Amino acid sequence: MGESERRTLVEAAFTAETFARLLLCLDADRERAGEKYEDLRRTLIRFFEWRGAPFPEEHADDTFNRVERKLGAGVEIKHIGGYCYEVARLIFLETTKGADSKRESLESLKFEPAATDTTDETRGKELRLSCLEDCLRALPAESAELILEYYRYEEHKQSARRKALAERLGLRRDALANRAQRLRDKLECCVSTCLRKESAI
Amino acid sequence: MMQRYLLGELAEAERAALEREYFDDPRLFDQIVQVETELVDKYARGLLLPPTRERFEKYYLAHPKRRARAEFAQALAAKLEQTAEVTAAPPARAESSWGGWLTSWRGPKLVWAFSLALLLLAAGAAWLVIETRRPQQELAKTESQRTTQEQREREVQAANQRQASEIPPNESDRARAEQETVPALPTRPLKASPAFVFFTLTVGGVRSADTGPPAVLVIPPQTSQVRLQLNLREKDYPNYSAVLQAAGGHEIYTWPRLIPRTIKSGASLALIVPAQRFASGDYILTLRGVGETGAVEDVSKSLFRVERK
Repeated sequence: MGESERRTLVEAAFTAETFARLLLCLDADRERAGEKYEDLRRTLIRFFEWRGAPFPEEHADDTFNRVERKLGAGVEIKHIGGYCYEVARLIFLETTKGADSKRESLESLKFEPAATDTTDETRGKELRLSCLEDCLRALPAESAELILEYYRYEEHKQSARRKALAERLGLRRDALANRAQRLRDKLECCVSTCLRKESAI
Repeated sequence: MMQRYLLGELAEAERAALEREYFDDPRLFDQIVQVETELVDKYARGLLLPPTRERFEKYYLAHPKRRARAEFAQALAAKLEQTAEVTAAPPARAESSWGGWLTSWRGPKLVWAFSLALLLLAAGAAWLVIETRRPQQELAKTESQRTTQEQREREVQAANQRQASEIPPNESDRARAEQETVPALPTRPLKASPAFVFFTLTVGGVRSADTGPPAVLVIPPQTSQVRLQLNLREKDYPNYSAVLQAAGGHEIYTWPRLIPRTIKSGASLALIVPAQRFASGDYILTLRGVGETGAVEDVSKSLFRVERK
């Protein structure tokens, strides 16, 4: 089965009904369940990334699909996080050993970072910086300011500055860290989309 | 533990145990994501220790998604440094007289004040090399009529003169100065333990990296930033890029997009480098002009020597 066919099947299986079943398993409150779903998907994607799997987003969706099938078959899942992990781990093992072995983990490939800047690399960096600036402008001003303030580097002063920022915003430090990280992830995603668009032109 | 996980250094059993834990505990997952962010930020700023950096490059960068994240971190670090250029770095010791003075001049005023000081210093040094040293009495007479801020500039300039006088000028120095590149001013620490040091290079054409004695950048202990000011005699390009390399070829830092600021004598570029990236030794700063069509051309190569105190 080709990759595109497999993807089509995965997407088709993701029907509204099975998705509702999964949400119910995550939380009785629909809105809260939606948030938990997003969090769990984010966890799955990072898990596959950290493991070195070739297509993290697809594998995450594949994981949900299989979990839904189990739910549809009447399997009772008490700890959805742990269950998803076991399914995800199985999928990861399949990607490295099974039918997807052609897409072997990139970890096994020897990667040599470029020793010097080539012209293309320089242009790539320029483009990325330009995209970053566009994406920062697209954020609400206070979000852009928060990112620039939170991640500004000052040796030996980072911690004190972040503490002061948390106090100024009336947040706990871990809440501030999470907010900054989420904004950063959003920004990273925006830059990635921008780069894809630019390279398609 | 988390960093070792991200660098693929855990045994499979440890790895799986941590994964089970973070799938059940979103707070732990958030912590690992933050550790990852710190890791890529440190890599982007060249702050990882060599063994960790090697592992990072070998393992972490092997995955395209993770590599993209590291590249994003580099872009963000570059953006943050650009932002820092318009925000003055705070003094190392606010309680000192210098500290109090700097605190009162924080923000754009400080940037402009130091820019003015650097321009005056660069002009003074060039004049010294090309002709002769100006008598200190004459300088003192002129300076005595200036404001308190200008007195500060004068003190630094006098220190520079004293340093320059230790090296007798010769004909080859003079010819080189007249030809193309004006030697950099030696670094002048603002105080015993500055938060940053300034270093000015003036370029006027392509210069091979192996001609003439290199200018010396002195980095005192506890310095956090080196601020390089690159003065251009002409603004030939809308944008520039720069690469800083150790003389052995190892790349220290790159600036993909630098927008020149027009000054009376041409243009200037402000470059900021974390001080810890420098070890004692020779460095080459390559400046490239980026035309409107995107064409890139070498503008200059400047050799300088770093002495860490």
